[in-house]
Amino acid sequence: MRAGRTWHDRHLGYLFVLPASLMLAAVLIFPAVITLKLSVTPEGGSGWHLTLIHYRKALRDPVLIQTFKNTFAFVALSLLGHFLLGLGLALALNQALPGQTFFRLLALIPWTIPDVVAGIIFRWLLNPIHGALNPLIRLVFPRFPAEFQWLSSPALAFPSVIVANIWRGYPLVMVMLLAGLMAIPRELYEAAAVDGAGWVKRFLHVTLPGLRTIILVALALDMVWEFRRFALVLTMTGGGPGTLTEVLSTLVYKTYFQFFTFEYASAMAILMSAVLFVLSLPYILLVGRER
Amino acid sequence: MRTAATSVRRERMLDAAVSYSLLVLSALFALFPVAWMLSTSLKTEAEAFALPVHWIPQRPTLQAYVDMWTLKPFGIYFWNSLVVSGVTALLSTAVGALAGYGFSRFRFRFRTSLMAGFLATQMISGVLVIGPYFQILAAVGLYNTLTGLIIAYVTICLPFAAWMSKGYFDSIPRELDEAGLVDGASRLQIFLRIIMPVAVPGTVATLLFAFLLAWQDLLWALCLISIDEKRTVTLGVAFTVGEFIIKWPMLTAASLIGSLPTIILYLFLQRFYVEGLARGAVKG
Amino acid sequence: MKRNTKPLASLAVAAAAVILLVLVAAPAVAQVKIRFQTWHWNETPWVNSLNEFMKTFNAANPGIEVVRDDSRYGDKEAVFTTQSQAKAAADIAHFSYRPIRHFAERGYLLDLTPFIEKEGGAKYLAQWDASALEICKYKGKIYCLPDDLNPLVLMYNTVHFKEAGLDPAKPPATWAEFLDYAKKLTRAGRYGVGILGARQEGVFMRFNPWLWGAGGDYLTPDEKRSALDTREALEGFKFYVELFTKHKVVPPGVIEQGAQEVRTQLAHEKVSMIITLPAAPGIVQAINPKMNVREVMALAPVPVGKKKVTSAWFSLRVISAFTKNPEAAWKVYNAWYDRDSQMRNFKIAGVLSSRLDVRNSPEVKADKYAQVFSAQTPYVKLEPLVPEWPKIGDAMLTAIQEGLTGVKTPEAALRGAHEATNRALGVR
Repeated sequence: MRAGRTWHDRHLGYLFVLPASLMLAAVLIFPAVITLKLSVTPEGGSGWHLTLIHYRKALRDPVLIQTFKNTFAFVALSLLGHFLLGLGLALALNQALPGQTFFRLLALIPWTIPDVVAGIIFRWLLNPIHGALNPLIRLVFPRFPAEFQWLSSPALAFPSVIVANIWRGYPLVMVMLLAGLMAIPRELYEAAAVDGAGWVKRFLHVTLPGLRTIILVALALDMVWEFRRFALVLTMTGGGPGTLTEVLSTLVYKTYFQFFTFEYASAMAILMSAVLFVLSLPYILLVGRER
Repeated sequence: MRTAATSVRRERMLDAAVSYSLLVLSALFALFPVAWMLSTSLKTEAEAFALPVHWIPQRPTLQAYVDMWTLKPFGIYFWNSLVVSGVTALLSTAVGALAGYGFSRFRFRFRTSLMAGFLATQMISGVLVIGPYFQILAAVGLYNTLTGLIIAYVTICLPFAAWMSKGYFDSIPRELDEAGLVDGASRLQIFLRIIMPVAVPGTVATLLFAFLLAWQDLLWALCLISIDEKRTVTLGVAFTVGEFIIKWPMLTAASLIGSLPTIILYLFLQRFYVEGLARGAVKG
Repeated sequence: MKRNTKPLASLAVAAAAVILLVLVAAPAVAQVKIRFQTWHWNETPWVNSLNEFMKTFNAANPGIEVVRDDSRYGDKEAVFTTQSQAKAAADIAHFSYRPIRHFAERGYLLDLTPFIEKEGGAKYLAQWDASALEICKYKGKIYCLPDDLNPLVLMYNTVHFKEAGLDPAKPPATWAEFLDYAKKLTRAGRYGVGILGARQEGVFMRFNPWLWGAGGDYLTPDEKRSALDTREALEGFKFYVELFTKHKVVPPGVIEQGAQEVRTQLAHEKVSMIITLPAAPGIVQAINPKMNVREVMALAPVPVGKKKVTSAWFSLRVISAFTKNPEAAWKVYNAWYDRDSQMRNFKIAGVLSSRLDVRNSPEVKADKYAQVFSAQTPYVKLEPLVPEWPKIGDAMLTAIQEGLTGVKTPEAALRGAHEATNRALGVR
């Protein structure tokens, strides 16, 4: 069947897509436009007297700039962690070893834990006095300090949050990569093995090319989600020590709900979405292009 | 010949050894925080603060679970979460599949831009739209209702659902549609009676994704619901933390109970999940 | 086209049915319900008082039903803001004094003046502490009545004092004594003092006595620019953070400690002294039911530096501008503020009303704890009421965390807060 053969068929397509489009327009796009308008309204103002003052302020705001840097680091390191751990586990789980279903289930568990709970668990785990991590380390290294501080340490707070986020988020990437691996025909490996290719070569010439699209998709989706990560950081550190672990979503929330500067917060949120949009442009283009 | 066979076998053994050690290590990494939660939830508050730390509660008690259940109406929260997550999963999968089918089978104008537009809506963060959305909801009287939450969650899940199902439909041969058309079925009939039944594994992935998103959300539920009768489980769990209340055993108990349904769901459905993803996300 | 319409229509009907089903699940509206917001719902002493009030009121007023609207301390302002924007906030809401003028400015609060006039105007208002009432007045209108005003005090474990060879009858009166006591009380598995470092509002109340006690302040007297660059401000700031960084009399993990964590440490005997609300004995008792709190714990004035000053927990209730039943809401509101309710709140929860007839009642004067904190009322100072306060406070929280964790030296951290404060105030 050739697609779009008749008038009828072409226009029927719109009908199928219509409900989803309407909902997206009403729930996401329309409110976003309202926020966009708010971001060019003077503080406390209304009507159509527009201004770019909030954007000008934002571009010079040291806190916002620092938070952008934090967020980039947070996203990049989380993605790296998700990818490496996810790929390693997916490779291990794709070997049809005995017990692999069991391990697959265990590996998926962190994913079923809500963000806010993950933040709480890790805060409790890392508690210097009553947490479980310090005694655990001391079981292996008895000379490790007893009341070692993690979240109250300038050097370790950020890495701790990243590790918690890697824990929470690797299963999704793992599952997608595992799905990708399962889709690679066994014959390709067998052919490569017959050609005498070692595992490095097989990995580079069969596995990676086979996974290319799914890696891109998984990382792109993950990037979007990590960029907006909110409850985990809020419950774990609230952005501290100081502003070392502040990320964009917590900063926008704070600016909106605690400082009551709705207009400035809207400008920040718009900038945040714009940056995210630019970062994910390759992915949107890839999907938008005929696959 | 013999050496080649041995080297293959040796490599297999090595593979297995490396794989198992990686699996065991990561299982420990995945489970340790959850095990610690479980242990804490079975302690009394005094024991949670006892030093040195007790790995296993000396006198395990379910008191924290009882306390949690009596403190807040978690039964109602569970029911609300089930309704919200269940309806969200069904609706977003259905509406997403409709769109996915449209994108997969029809070539209409603006099709690719519309697909890109769907994905672009994912860049809009919740903080950005929640205020205005709330105003719309209040204007139509849907504030403090599960319906308002469901509409929001369904929409948030739609881009993923549409994209997943499009990928999945692409992997289903068009000859099936062809045959249906020849039999005189309408497009919608083909979609409902021929394509959807074949696409079940693909929908499981979307269903789970949407269910999980709705179950775990805090931000929307926090702003859209302010009465106990309509609260969700995750909100209930979050409510047990605050400036004045940090009872670790009760908190961990609530967290575990709150995560249980999703864990169970995964136990049963994870096989379909991977398969669905493999065809929807990979082949697409 | 025609053959397509039937299934499409059935789909639409099905969708409509689902939506309708969920809509029906929404609650039916009954009698006049007044949503009474509280974040105390999980604190045994406070919520008991509130429940008692609701029971009494609902029994006496069949036409009105007060329902509890539980919220969380940390995001109650966020929730009220969103809901007010949607014109659907709780009818009566409970806040600290800090956000009141913001809410009034945004039009979220009901002007109470007409109701107060009906109750007798100035004579009615004279029942409250006049300085506390000032907070409620904004641009010629009255948006609230002052509720509980509790000067912060030092709470200490007398048993620990005895163990350390200190006289429980002689609590530390000066900063030097305080530090000395804290060092003596610090021993294996226990620390002398618990201080707050978490990112929450509660930090200010426990930090301000040190800043102000050293003679420092947030703003210059004209409230136009930051005063955090003074020697006095630095002295107070340093005293606070060095309790942890230099003298090590505070438990580790200090920036993870909020008000409740610190009270929990006191209740489980991990620390010996805290700066706290007068209501803390009841909360500590609830955390550790095995402790005989009234025997073990004592209250004393906050140690005095250069100036005798303390901060206060000061809260008030407001009526939403968007309430559908202003008359009923006022009736509930007024009942909460009458003498009996406020006295009940003292007896059950141990908080001090800003109603003069309650504050000066024999019951309050005779209470072991109340006589201590009630006497501190004249020394209470509040944070500046400028609209930029949330930003200034946030900058101070950042500085406190940076100082406590050593991200910056105390000097650099406080300078950061100074600059951020001036930025917030628009100083060039």
